[in-house]
Amino acid sequence: MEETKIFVVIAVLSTVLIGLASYLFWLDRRVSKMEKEIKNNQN
Amino acid sequence: MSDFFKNNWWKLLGVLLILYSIIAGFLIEVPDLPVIRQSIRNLFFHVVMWFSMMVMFGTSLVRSLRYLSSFELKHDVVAIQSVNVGLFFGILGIVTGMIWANFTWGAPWVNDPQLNGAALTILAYFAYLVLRRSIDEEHKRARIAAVYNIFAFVMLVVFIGILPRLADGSLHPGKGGSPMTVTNLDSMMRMVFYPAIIGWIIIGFWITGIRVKMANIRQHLDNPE
Repeated sequence: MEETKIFVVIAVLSTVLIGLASYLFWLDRRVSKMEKEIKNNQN
Repeated sequence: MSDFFKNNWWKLLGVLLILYSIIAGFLIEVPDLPVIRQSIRNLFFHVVMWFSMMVMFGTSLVRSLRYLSSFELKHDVVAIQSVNVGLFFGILGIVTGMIWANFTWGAPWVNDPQLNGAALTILAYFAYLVLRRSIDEEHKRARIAAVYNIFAFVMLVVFIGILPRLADGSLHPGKGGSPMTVTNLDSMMRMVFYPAIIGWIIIGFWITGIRVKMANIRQHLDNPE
């Protein structure tokens, strides 16, 4: 494991996927805020 | 159901290409180079981030030019959102690069023209965001930002494309002093590398599309007619 450095590839790929997921969560939160604003405007 | 595929097939294609690049990226035979060993497979996960970033910034440049020739704000919206997504790829490129560098060069950041160039490029695009925030009137903002965007793309080409090749002693393959590994990259690796790039670019366009829709809703909320 240490020798072939395959763990570096696993670390990099995991970072990319975690990064993508975090970005989607953040976008989701911004959309939710706007949704709430629209609901408030209607009332 | 058929409507779903008609409108979304390209997103599915992007996901499948990335899935393929992950599976094949771990399974294919790769040349066993000294020091770097199996971590050469990061070509499919780290290098593609930079390619995607450049395509996003290139898209932004095209939209900025189209704004300047038409003064239609719809192009400006795509230009800014492409930069946002490009920065996302750039930050992922930096972080994954630091992990890879730590295990091959012994430190997360080394004084390498390619690294410093990439960092400067990202700063140039952050400056684009700051510049936009400082102007309130939307057509004025779109115009000034579009002109700056041309300048920022020139910086990208100089910092990432030209200077690292001219410098001597870059640790990056193919850049000043280092042999190009991509030209003798075997055809197996190309068969994973290119689909991976296309897949991530598609995901980039997808996220840009979502962000454009969000920006349009935001605009509508802030200025209800």
